[in-house]
Amino acid sequence: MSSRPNIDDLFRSELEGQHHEFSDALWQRLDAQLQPERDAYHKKDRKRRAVWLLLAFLAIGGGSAWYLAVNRNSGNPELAGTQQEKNTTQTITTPQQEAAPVSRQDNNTNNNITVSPQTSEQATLPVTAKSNQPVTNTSTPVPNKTITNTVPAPGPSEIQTGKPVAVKRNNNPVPFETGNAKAITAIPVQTKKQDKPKTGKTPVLNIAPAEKQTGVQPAETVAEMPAAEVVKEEKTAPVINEPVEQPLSEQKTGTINSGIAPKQPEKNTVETKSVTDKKAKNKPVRGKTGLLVTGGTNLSSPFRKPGVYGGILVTKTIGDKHIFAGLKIANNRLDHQLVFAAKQNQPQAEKDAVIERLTILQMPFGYEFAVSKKNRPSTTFLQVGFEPAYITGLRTVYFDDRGIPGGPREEVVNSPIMSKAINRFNLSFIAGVRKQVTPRIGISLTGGYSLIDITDKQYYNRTSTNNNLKYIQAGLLFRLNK
Amino acid sequence: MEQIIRGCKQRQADCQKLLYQQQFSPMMNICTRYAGTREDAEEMLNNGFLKIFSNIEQYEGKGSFEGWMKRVMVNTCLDYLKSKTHRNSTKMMVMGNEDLLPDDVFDHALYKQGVFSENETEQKYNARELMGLLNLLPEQTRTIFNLFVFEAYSHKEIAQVMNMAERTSQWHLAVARKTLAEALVNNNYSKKIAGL
Repeated sequence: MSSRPNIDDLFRSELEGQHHEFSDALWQRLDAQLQPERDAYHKKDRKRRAVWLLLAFLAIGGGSAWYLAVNRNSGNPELAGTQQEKNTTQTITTPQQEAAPVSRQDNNTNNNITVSPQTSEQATLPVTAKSNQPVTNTSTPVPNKTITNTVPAPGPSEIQTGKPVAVKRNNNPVPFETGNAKAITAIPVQTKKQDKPKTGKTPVLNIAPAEKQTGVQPAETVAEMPAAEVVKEEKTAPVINEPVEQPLSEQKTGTINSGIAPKQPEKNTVETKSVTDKKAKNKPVRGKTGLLVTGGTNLSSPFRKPGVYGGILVTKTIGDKHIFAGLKIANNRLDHQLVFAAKQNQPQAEKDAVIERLTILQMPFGYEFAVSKKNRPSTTFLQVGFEPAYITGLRTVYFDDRGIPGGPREEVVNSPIMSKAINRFNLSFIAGVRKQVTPRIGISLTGGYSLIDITDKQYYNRTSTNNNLKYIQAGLLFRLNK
Repeated sequence: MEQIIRGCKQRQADCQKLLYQQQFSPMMNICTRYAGTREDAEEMLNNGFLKIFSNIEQYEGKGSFEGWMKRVMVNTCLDYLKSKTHRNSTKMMVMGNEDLLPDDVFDHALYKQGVFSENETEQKYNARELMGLLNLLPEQTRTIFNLFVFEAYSHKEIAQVMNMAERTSQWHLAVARKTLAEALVNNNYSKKIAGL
């Protein structure tokens, strides 16, 4: 008995250190066997990169769609109308600098007031005066009587009015330039009692027909006013409107219009608005984009237990056509048995595994057909399309026999072998129905059947059941935009 | 080594070749112990390396990589022997032990005639001779001897792997030791096993 360990030692010591020369022929044989696997790996790697690229594009596309959908809201007629009203308000405003020439010319006996003509583009630019002289504070309060007696000023574009006006001022301190200034005369100029501008509040400089005339706004005060603040017109005052020759379209742009309309300025403003509305109505109908949030449950199917899904869906109506695209993440619980074997590694025993959970990123797209009357809140759509999918999460149990068929089996959760054996990329045919119950809320029922086997090409699939993924999703939709 | 493993995980041919070159000798050593012939040993070696390269992701850096490779290689050898036994079970029954001796590993006939002298390179001579003696054992007995002596498997593990009772494994080991001891004594190797 004592010799036996020595026999073990003898064999161990003599045989373990044996040296074998490297055989290149053997390597060539192995290299040829490895080549298909290398090709498959690199192909899969490229595919993986392509999928990530696709996902990135989808994310960017989804973001852009959302951005466009949100921005289109600001361009809809209702909001455009609001914008037009705003423009109208701005039309009756006058930049603050207009007061400056006023005050300067008040010194003249003619009481000429110079108001720079402004186009829409010029509204934000400095207002110019006849000279570079700074505005002075020496203006004398003009009696109301003098104001109402208007004196026509020379020049074709000069506008006169005998009515007292209220002028909303732009408070930007502006350098005066020579030229471009057009004078109007005898605009009744007055200012409200000078309120000291509070920080953050709109300073008011009114040239209004009031007995409370306190003189013209001192230039220093004007210069001190906060920039880019606008004073609203006092409703009691008539509007100083744009000269007739100014195109209406310029008024639509929402910029300050300093023109002075000689007659019925309010009416003119209303006309401007109506023209704008007409223009808005005459615009070609653009595609209507809907942005919906969706979520629901995966109904059970032969090898699928209930799961959940959620995501976004973008719908777009172009003429009579309706298309949709989306991005969903679905978490599915399964009990799917797999029996597979590697193609390249023969002879190799079949492996047993169970897929317990799948997390799939789904990217459905396709057509929708309205089956009820359009433009009704309860529109029903039939959907058909395709759904590329990528398995992002996987929980598997793989029964590892350590390469010894018939030997003891060890259960390995999320084995790397399974990661390779499962085909992560998938493409499904989808069909379903979507019903908008209210403009905001809808319901959907969608079924999908994958066109690709879940087992990777490199593996034989010996499972008797169909390995193609199939599902039915029922869920709610919530429309984010109108 | 880590760089080579990383390259192998990315299926880079040059890294795979480098690993094959580095590990050829120790892995071939394992295969020759289990295989009856050099051809079988080469087949086992390439099958084992194929498994290693295909499943290299399974190696997560825990423990020695060589140990992991060795384990894969041993499992491959066992797998190969089982499948071969299944294929050639009838043929194996009628073959004598001498038919299993590989000429290039050990010239059994020359050994019997005492052509190899003790002055020859002792390491090489002994290794080849011992390998020849090992190949005298029946396949299952040799496998169990290999697992116990070289792979340090316990009888419990051997029983699990070979799908047999522990006592059967113990019996095979006893038979192997006895047979090898007798062969060594008969061939003037008693001096090597001084404890006898």
